Amino acid sequence: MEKLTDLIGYLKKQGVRFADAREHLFEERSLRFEDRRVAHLNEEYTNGVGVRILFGNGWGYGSTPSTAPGCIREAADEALEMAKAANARAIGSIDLCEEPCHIATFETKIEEDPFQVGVDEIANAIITANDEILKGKDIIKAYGMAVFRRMKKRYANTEGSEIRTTIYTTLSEIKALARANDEVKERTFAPPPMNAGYEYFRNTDFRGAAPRIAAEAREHCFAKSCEDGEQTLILDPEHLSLTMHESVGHPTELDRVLGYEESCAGRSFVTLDKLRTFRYGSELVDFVADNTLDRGLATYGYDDEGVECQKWHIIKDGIFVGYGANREVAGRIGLKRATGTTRATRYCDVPIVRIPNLYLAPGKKQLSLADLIADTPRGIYIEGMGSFSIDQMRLNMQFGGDAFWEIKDGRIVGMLKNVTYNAISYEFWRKCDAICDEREFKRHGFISCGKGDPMQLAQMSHGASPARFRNITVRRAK
Amino acid sequence: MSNKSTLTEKPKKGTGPGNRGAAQLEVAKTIIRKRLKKPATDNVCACLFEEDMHFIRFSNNEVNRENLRKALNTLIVNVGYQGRIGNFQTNDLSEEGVAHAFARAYENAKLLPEDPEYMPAITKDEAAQARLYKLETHANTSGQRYDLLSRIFKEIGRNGLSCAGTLSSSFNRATTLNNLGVELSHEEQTLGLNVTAMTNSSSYKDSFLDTDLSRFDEQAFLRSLVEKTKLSENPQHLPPGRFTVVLSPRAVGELVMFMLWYNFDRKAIDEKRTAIFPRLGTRIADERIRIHVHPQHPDCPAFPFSPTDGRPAGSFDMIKDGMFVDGWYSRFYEKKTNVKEKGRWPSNVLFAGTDRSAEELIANVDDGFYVNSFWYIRLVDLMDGIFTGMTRDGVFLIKNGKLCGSVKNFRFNQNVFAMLMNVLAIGQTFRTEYGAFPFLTVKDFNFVSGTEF
Repeated sequence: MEKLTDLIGYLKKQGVRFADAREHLFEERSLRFEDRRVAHLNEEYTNGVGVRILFGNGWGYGSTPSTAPGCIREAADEALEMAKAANARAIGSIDLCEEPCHIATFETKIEEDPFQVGVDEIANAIITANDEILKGKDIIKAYGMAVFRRMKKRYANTEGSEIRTTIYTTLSEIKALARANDEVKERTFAPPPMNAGYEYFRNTDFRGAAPRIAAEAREHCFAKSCEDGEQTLILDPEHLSLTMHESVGHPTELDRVLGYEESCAGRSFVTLDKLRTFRYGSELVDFVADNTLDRGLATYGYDDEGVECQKWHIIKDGIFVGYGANREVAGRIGLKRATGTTRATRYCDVPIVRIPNLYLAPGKKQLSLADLIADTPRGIYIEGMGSFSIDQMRLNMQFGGDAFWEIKDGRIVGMLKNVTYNAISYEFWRKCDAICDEREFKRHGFISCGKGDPMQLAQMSHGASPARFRNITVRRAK
Repeated sequence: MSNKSTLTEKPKKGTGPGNRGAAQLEVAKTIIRKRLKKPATDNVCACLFEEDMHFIRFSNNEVNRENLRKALNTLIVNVGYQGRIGNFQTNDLSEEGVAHAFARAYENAKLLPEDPEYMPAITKDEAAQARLYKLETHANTSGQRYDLLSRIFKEIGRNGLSCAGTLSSSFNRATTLNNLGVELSHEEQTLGLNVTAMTNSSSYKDSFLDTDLSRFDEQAFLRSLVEKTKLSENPQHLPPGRFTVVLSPRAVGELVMFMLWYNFDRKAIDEKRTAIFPRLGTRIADERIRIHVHPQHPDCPAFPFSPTDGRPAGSFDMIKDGMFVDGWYSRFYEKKTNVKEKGRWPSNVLFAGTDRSAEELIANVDDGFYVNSFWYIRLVDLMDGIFTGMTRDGVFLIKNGKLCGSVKNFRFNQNVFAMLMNVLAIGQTFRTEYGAFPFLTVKDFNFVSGTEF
């Protein structure tokens, strides 16, 4: 930390308006499986220091893989030069929101460090499950994945903050691929990724899930095609995590709204005039952003510009009420404080606004999934994630799924195939007419959400109880 | 789009990114060579990636927060041990860091289960098949880059428009060494400019990707960008349906690359799990279509070897005369099937074009659309080859052979094999991010819904 605070002292003398420095160690163990083999192992260690400088109204960012003071100084001098060049061409002003000075430490609570576990043990857990998958009739392939991350950061800024964080993340899945009836279909078992240690992976029953996904992959090959037209959908929490990520998470990133991401990730239909007035969903729909969520993938304690992680509403009673914002853009909508959701993937990446841990609040009335299906005369229950696509303003969206179950007279009667649904995002959420209660709430999330240019991959949790949507356009994927 | 590259034997050194930390890297290479002379096993390979980039992102006609210098040097060590491959990747290139990478890769290898697809290290004879080349490069300075952006912002602003995009100057080098004495190295220096210009109701994007800023025709680029952006203003809402479209090289590349990626792995084809399998022996595209790989192609040069193990990149046809020819192979699968000189995946993709300009293609369409680019393409149905996605940054109405205004964006659900069969005309080829692709006129392109902009 001393190297960083020394640098900050140096930069203060250079007349910068603001600067921060982040020593950022990113470690990842990633194993990918094909049948009974480890198809790919990658173990990564990437460490370095990034220096961000605001000079006048221009930003510059320099980085170095070395933690030697001379190298850090060189990166800072480059950042300052770039900030001056940007300032000379600036037409707007940059005013950072205030943030208290933090002297703090935050760590993910873990029982077992996944980097202390042999790769043989990790491989054995997945290969044992793949063995079970491959016993299934008409199964032609079994896949698997296990990813573990350890991220250690030291952060200091010109306002006096000094923050140390250590984050652990675990993600895994297994997948069955069946070929029958001139079809090739897959089915996935994916426990929710968590900021957790190896104990979370160890306690996951991959082998137990294997026979079911193998059988359902085969069943999918023999399923009948869905019918085109407006239908009632019940979406499971894993599926909803993707829907909310694309249609609520990304469009409510304030930097996107203000055009910063236009050239790559795109902009947003959720323009500033819609704040606190726009009906985004039915009255049942509450979306909560919570970067303090226990074991949440975006639960970092403090973000990469030294802002404390927080909890806030994005949508309340169906009305759009809040963005995710960094210190640069928060003031433009009158926020006194950034929301603490600005992150960078590695030391050489600039911190940008990222989707927070985001969840659809459970319904307030008692309602189980069984009750909801029983209350649905005709519809489709979609589990898991499949094809997904949305336009750059986050309006026209189309999703598939991992498994599609036909509902008739309040009962699941069999599997369907080739289901996609298509909607305008806010119209979709307005058609939500039931959400199961908290007993059915489940988490999911992502560790490879792409944004920024150069592209960065970030992680965040999502969650929901199963929810029902009426009159959604369903189309056979043929 | 105007992006021709020139192959030459002698590179010219510049003053841009590419020289940072050179001394430290040479020290690291010396340490690596020393370690490879006393390898832990008979299969040890080290790859050193050097990436040095000055990247300027802009939005709302000014430079924004992603104004950065990115220098990332990465060592990847693969160690084979009794039929297993262990790996470790690090950016710690100190003597201790390199030693740790070799040790950790070896430890991992010993713990992994035996891999039935294990392959030994590449030999010098095999590596000698890589056709190495050097690109002529002309570096540009950061001052030139910022000044270019100032002129772009001024011209865009003068026309009442705003713009966003990126200007990057990057240097990449990969050096692959192994315990059998293989040492291959290849470097690239590229300049990329992407500009999305916007009215209040629309956007249009254009790009320049090359090794040399002096080949950039700034005036022509800006003139076309401003004209097309103004033409895109106030897009009409039209119902979806099947239409004749002229696709830009960028749009063609985006869609064709997805199709190739999901379908052209030879092992997956033989295991009957890609859409190519049921189509083997049948025509999968119009008979004029040829899609092939050629790492040394002057229009779109690519890495002449695979950096992870030094395997030479092959030249091969994937589609010729509209028929499937072959896919790509892992080293294991190449050996198993006794095939030579294919690549692990395409080092570049070349979709053969003609001398027909975009204007000629448009002039032959009475009623249709010109699509400048696609966005968020995803697989919908594997075996039918159906992909979905949106149009983006410019969809223009074509009436009686002329562009006449723009329309709001569409979603498509398109069988890509059907698209390749429905090609009416093939135009000039341009280099894109994914390879070299031509303008295409396609009938019955399937737009299924619209959006609000």
